[in-house]
Amino acid sequence: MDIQEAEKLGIEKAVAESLKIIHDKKDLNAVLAINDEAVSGQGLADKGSGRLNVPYICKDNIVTLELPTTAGSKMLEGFVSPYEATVVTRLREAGAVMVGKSNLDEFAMGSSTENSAYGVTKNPVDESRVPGGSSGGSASAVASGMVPFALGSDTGGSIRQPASFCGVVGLMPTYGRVSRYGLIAMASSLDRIGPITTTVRDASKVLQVIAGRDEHDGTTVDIPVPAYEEFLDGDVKGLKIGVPKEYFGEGVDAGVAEAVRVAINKLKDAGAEIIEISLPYSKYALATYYILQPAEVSANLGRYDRVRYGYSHNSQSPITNNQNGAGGLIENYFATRAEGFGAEVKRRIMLGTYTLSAGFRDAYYDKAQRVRTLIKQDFDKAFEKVDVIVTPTTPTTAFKIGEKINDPLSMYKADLLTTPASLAGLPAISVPCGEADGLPVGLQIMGKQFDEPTILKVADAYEKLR
Amino acid sequence: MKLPLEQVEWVTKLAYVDLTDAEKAEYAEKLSAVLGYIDELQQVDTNTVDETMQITNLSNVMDGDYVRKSEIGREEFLKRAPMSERGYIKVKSVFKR
Repeated sequence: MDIQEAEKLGIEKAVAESLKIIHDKKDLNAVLAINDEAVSGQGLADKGSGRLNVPYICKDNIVTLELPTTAGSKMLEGFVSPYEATVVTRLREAGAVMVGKSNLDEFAMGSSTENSAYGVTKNPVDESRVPGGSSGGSASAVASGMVPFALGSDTGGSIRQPASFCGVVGLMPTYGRVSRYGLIAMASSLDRIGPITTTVRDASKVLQVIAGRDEHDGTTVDIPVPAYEEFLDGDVKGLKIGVPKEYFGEGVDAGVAEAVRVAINKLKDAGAEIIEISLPYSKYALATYYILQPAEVSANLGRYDRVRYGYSHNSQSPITNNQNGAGGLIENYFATRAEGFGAEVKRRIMLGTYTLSAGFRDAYYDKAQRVRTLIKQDFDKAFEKVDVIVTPTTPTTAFKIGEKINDPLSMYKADLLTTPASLAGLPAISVPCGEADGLPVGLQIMGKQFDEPTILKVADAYEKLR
Repeated sequence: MKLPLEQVEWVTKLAYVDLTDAEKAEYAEKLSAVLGYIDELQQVDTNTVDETMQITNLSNVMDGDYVRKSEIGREEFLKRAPMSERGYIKVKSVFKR
């Protein structure tokens, strides 16, 4: 269901329907915690401004009061946050009702949701395949009709890639457009929250509610929030669309590239001007990202030591044994973190710690920050000539569960085409654009900083032409 | 560029994460693969540019200097602490006895 259909049902019926589908489709393992209280008829119709009177699901790395927040990790098993994220407050004030928290790769690290401590989520399009990650639960929930929208987070592709794999819309706003207050930090200079929906119009509606300066998040920018829906007029005549050759080459499946080229031609037939461009430094984006992100991760995850929080009060719980065991505080840190974190999280903490350590920092971290400048400059130059840049979202379609889990580097390459916009701080949206071998393909549209209006306009126009 | 085991062990100390011997061997291999991949950045000439730490160009965004009631009270903190006693969060000892 989309937002309009859900609103027509009325909030109580929509919430009841949503909860029913969530329970019916339990075996997708998309939802970790379900808010069955949401349907208790406490005058749901009276709550909020009514701007967005629909049920939704929230990715489980966004803190909420009514449901636990696990970040897909044993480290936060059973943890109930004492405060809620700004985006959640804003959605509540607009009338939206949270019906569940969705599964994700542990601490948002992964591209398949296989790294969750609570099991993998299945792709509703083909249940033997991954839904993508790290917002796999959210994408799966929307694609299977559980809710008209879900919140995801995107650091290197974690909204766009699962949206592409599941055949739904995923929007990554400009860094600083949406408050990160309450988003469990992964890489603080890259993390963003955004909506996953079935239509571009719905993505605009959700962005409208969650965007804007937040005094709790000093990295949010004080730029007015435009009325996004007003830009969805379907008119792309004269719009300049840049197509970078580097995003269609080595590593990109032929079927995926073809589906995207067909989509670009549709936009051309509708009057857009297609301009071949080059973003030469984008080829270093993945390597740059896998230096910067683990480095920031290693710092951000230093707080998880189970001293102040992150503990099951059940003293029988095996991972709490060391609290009463031998050894002092320091030994406790080592053991707690070894037990509470999964393999991929430990790998990235190790990688990040290494690249930031004495003797290596200049060669890795500082170098990567400079390459990041070069990547960004490519985009700045391109945007002097074009309005938006269009590419495939992912190099392949959804892979099989288990296919890449033992080869981290191969898994990282799923982010090949999404990491450039992440590093450059730009907004990007993925819209479904046909299939390759029967599996969804995503069209990625990237825009200038804070130019969500134009990328939404082009995405919506394409949706109408499809 | 294979990571020597001592280097892996040194990093585990910095990161405060215990690894089993099997994990150390496995991570040495997998991390080496990733390091080999990111080593390609060494070929890039970055002499003409500065670092990009963040893209908002914001700096010194301050909160107001005023007293207000905390959103989260002592009880809320204690509820979530693994060990607590007489209103304090209890931690294991730092000094060895």
